[in-house]
Amino acid sequence: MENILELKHITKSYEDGINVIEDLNLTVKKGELITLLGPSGCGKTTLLRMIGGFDLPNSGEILLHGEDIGQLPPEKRPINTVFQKYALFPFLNIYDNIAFGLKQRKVDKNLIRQKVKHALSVVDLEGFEKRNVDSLSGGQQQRVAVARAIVNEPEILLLDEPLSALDHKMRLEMQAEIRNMHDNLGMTFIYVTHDQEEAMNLSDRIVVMANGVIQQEGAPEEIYDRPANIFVADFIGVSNIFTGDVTDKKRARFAGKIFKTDSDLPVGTRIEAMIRPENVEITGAGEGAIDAVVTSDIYKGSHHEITAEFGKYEVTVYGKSRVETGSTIGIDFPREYIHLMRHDMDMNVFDGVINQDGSADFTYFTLAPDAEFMRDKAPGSKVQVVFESKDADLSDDPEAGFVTGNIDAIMYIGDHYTYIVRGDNDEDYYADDDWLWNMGDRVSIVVPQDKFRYRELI
Amino acid sequence: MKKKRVLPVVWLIIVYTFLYLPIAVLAFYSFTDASMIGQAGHFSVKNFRTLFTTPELLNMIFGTIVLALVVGVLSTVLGTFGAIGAFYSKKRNRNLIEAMNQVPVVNADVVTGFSVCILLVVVLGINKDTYIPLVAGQMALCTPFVYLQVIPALSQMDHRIYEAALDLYCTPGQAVFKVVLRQLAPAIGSGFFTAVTLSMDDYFVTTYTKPAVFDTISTYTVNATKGAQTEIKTALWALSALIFFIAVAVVIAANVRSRRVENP
Repeated sequence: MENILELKHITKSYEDGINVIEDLNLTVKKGELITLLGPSGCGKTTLLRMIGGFDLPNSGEILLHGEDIGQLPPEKRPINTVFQKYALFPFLNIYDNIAFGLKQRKVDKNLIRQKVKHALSVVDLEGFEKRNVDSLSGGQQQRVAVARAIVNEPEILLLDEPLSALDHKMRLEMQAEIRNMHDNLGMTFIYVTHDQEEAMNLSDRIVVMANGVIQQEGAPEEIYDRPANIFVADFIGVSNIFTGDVTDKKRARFAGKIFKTDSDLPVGTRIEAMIRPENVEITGAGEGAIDAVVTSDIYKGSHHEITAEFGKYEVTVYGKSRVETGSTIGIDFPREYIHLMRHDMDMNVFDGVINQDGSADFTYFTLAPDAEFMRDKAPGSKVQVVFESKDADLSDDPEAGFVTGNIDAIMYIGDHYTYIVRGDNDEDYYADDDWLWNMGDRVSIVVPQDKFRYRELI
Repeated sequence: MKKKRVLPVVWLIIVYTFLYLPIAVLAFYSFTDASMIGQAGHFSVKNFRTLFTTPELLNMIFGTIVLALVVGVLSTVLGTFGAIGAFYSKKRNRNLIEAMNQVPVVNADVVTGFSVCILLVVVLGINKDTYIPLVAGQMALCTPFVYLQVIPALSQMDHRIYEAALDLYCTPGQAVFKVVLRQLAPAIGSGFFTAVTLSMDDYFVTTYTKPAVFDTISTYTVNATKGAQTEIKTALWALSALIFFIAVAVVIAANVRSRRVENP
């Protein structure tokens, strides 16, 4: 299929100098329904706004049919948008709302009438011409917003979380309708959402974003079955994730055992193993690879969501029948369902909560974010802290750093060493250091205050 | 049997008597040929005839209306764009503007009028006959009220409609005029009416800044009621009654209209 839109080396930063999007490349094919998926603040909306022309990239090209439109204002782009919360004009009736763009382009009156009528029939709102915006339900307003955009026959339709204001049932209905409309119109749709289920239901292709970087792009099945990294695995669907390493050809150690895998990752690679709850097998006690104690069983209608513990690990399994809480079951991870991901050791990411004293509690340590960040943050708000491994150093003075642990792994990377430090609660930290330490050394991790990056989680 | 609650009704009667008895007396006497309130007289429309035939009175009324409209339009433009500008400014700047906007609202009119006079006439040396001090002075009085009417409408507005207009082929200018201002129109309209009313009501700013030969209803009435020229004085009763009736008519019309909008 022909490429309709190409984004090349797009970088966008705001006044404070923080990059929202960094060197992003993406190709959209003509006629596909592509979804930009990610948590709030991941840059997906900014990306959509740059395609629509509401924000301009600091550098990079946006090519439509090979022509750079990156610096054109929105009114000069053959692209229309369905806005979050609709953004209909309350002072115009439905007909005039839909006709707005056509009138603006001085289209012939009779033609406008025909086109509006057709657009209303596409969104299933025939006879609503004279109604006021306020007299329509949320779902109906959403359809008007879609009609107002598609009536202009844009090359690309952008949809910015268009269903976020609707209730769950309505959302499912509208998803099916949007998919139908897309298939009937043959238009290219770029859809933004933070709802992974919605992305799964709708898309030909999903682009998963985090921190302004594309984590993975692919068909929904591909993203679900073979996530590129732990972020994607965790964000899409429910998953069991264990850290470990490749011990032998097609063998990996994780969750305290060695499992056969289909992966070709080289021996010694630090990995995360992911297995979906519906792929975990339940066997009788002693018959599986692992024996685990059931801690809960919640009936979900189509399956039982069973949580079981073994050692310091926990696993979620979707079972067909009820198991007694407190009983022991056997668990197996079938080889073909174990998905190994190379462990990313560039970043340290921890989630935490603002406490009463105006600092932030992360499970294993407490940090004091700067006053600028703490302004208007109430105790109890969720925050995330990120620091890069290259900004973290090691010290043998336990008081020098913000957390202590023992060196668990050492990797020599060209000109420096990357260390995995195992904290006292079994959590891992990654730090780059120029000096050679020994396995098991007791160290503290030192990060300059200004290298901690905080973000509010919503 | 329904128990009638007497006290609230009595209280209301007292309140409305205080509010409306003075103007009712004036309205009553404006339809007589009496030369003083309290004097016996016969029914007559002589006061209204005087009102509509005396050139001096007509000029004064006409001047008041023209001044109010000019000040209304200018204050509305200034206040509206001021509000839009402040609304989209950084929070600190907006708070500063908001605070400064409060000062003329809270300040006594006599102080505003006097200071405008000092600044424009004494310090800057602008001639009162140019009407510039008068218009500028009344604008200083009216603009903050327009601002105060537009700001809430801006905070209620869905700001994406501006981008929606851009998306639908409007230039930024067209988007502001066709969509943003259109959406704010009710607030801008009531801001305009507030400004017109304030301009017509104003006495202090006008006395300090008006040209010597010009009078508004307020300044004229204050001066005319001092002297003994009864013909004009009684005609002013008619003017007062007329203004009152127009005001009542406008209020009723506005109420009927808003009720119709609420229950179509």
